Amino acid sequence: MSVIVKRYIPLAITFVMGIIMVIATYFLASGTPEREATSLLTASVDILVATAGIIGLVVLLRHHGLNISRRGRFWKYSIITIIGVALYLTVGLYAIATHGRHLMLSQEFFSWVYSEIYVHMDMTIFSLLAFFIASAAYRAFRLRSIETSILLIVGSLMLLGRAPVGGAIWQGFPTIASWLLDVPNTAGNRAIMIGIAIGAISLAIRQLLGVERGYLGPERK
Amino acid sequence: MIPPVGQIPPELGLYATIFGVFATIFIYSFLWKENPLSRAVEHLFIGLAAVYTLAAMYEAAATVAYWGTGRIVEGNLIWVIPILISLMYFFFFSKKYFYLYRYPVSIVAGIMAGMMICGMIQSNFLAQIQDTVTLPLVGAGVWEGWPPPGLDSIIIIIGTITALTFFFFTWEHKGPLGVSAKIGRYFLMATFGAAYGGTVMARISLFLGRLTFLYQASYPSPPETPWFWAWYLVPIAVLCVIIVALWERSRPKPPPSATVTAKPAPAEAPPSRPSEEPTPAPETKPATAKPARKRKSEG
Amino acid sequence: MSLPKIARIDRRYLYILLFIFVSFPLFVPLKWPITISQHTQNAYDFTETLPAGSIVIESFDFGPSTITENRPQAKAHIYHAEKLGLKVVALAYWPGGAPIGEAILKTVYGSDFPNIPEYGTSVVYLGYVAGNEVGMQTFGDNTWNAKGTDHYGTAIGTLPLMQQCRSAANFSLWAEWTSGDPGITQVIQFVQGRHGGPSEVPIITGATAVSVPGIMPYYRAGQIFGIMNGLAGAGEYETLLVESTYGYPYMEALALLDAQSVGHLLIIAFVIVGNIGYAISKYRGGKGS
Repeated sequence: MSVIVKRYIPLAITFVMGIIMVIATYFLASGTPEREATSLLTASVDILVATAGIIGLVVLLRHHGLNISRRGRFWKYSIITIIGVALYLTVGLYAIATHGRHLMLSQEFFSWVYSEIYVHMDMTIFSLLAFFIASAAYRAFRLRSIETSILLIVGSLMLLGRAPVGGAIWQGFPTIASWLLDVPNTAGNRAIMIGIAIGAISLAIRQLLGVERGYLGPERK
Repeated sequence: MIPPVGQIPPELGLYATIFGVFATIFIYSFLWKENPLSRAVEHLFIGLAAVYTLAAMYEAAATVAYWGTGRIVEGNLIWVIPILISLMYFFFFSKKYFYLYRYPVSIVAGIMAGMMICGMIQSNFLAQIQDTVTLPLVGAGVWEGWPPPGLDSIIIIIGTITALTFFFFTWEHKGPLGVSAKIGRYFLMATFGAAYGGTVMARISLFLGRLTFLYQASYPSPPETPWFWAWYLVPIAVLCVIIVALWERSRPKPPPSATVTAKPAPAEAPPSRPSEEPTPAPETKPATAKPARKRKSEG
Repeated sequence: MSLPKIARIDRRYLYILLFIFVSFPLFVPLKWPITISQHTQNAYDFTETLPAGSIVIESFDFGPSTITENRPQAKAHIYHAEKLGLKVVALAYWPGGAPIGEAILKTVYGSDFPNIPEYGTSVVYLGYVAGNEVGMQTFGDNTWNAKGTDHYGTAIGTLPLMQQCRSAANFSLWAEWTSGDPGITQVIQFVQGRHGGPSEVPIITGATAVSVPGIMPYYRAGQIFGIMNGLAGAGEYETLLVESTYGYPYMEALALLDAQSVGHLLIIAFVIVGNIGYAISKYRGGKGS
């Protein structure tokens, strides 16, 4: 009985939900009330995912809290993380308490903190990649073989063709760059796309049939 | 303390710009050498990101279930059901009733798997195969101009088929399959070259965004005449980084801890060395030193 | 044998070179001419063919990390749509895209947005719609099920534009501004594929340059009608607007393209210098890097 409740019922739920989605797509015409009813089902996923977000925050706080209590690596910086979470959460909860919603409106202080404080850090952290690309270009990209030569030549032609300087040097560079995107790149990416589709479909079928159970989490005794 | 809705003082914009400059320079200082300031800003970023993501999810879930047309606030109580089911996620923290956490997970996983089957088959599989086999090879204008569309069609057909054969790992790549896989590998290299070009473009663009902020951000914003420019603070921020880096260097190094943890900045491998490929980590702690090296010499 | 000096430059000097060289055109514009690519031209031309009153979905599926590329794309197209008299339903499937989208709409429709006369009839902003690809599918099946209110808390059923926009059958164009997942791939799979294909749900997209090679098969298969390729694509669209009768007062991308060009040249130079060092080391019989 306990195995049925703990394992087989969740697997059955997965199967039923998946079959509903497949039937709705292939056997229910667009615009029919039955198909629109399945959109209620998919809309409920938004609600489920929101609660999972709370779990994520709790796990983050637990990780950094344990790091502080055990004086782990960079434990002093975990204090900064927790202070940041506490302050921003306070701002958000205050907004909810005073008028219940609209956290994301531009007039809200919560949204202002995002637009004026968080955005700078987000943009800067991602812009570090430009420097790593430059370093990789110098240190790692070598013309060792035909394959790497093709990679570098195509990449260089793309760089010249997709910026105004390429057209200023020679009118042919933008044309070549467009052709490289449209033809050989399409061929390779199409093959990759078909392969990924086959893999994703087989994984989804395995999940529906209960062969893949990793999403259920660990077996806890 | 917390400004009410619509009453955020404009002076806060100045403080935000100041914070932005310091945060930018502190994070960029990581490129020179990892230091406490860059770590501090990164940890702050993680905290704010987590809360913002949660807030967005809460707001979205509330407007799906509670507020709006046909929702709980208008008396449609069917939306209570997913809220109750979502509460089962909290059994994640229970040892005895952990299995109840699987029920909402199963719902999401089943819906996603069903959607994936339908979406992938049509868009990534059938549509791509259909386009490949219907590429024009004969007809008016197919072999005119340069490059002729017919030639492009042949290249795409050959490239797609040979690149697919590259992924046939059931048989050894010998004979005709070997030739096909080799040609496919060349097409895949062209694909990766295009991806590399696109990656460089994108990353340079990200960097340009920050440069634009550092050089052009001002207070107050136009059309008022600004009296403060963000770049005024850049030397001060750089000075802060230098001071903190020198202070960290002057501190005595703690002894190696009993637990296996990676040291942040091993003194025996300073970044000012000539940029050879990273040598293997010291023999005493190869496993722990490697992550730190990889991070330092990343890129 | 050790590497030659040219192959042993400390990477931090490369960073400084990148910083200096890319900064230079921001102060001294080089004004290199821009070439309009066919991908961007197709996006512009398709938008031009839409009759006034058509419903356009503008989806801000990007975050602050790619704002430099995606914001000018989205802003240019929304400005174009507004000039053509198209009806815009804007939303975001990325939480970070919601405030950015609102700022873009304020730029195009005026700082009073949403307190403008045409809000609700010609333009609606739904804000962040949760659920990623599931949310996209829900929106395509029944827009009212995806979210009950707009970004400002107004019940969706009270907005006249949303009375007309009930499902993907009512969309004349889906303009996707994307930098990853969920993005253009998910719109094609879970909206266009479920509602009759490209003829029923035409899509144009502005994607980051890193995403564009991966979505080219969709473009060749006719599932996407036009692509703005990164910052260059945004600059091309801005140029098309400037040269048209509409004009364009919010130039953002064009000013950065010179710096982008210098960055590209520098990266190519790094590759060449690195390979020269590698060739020298091989010639000397030492180990290459």
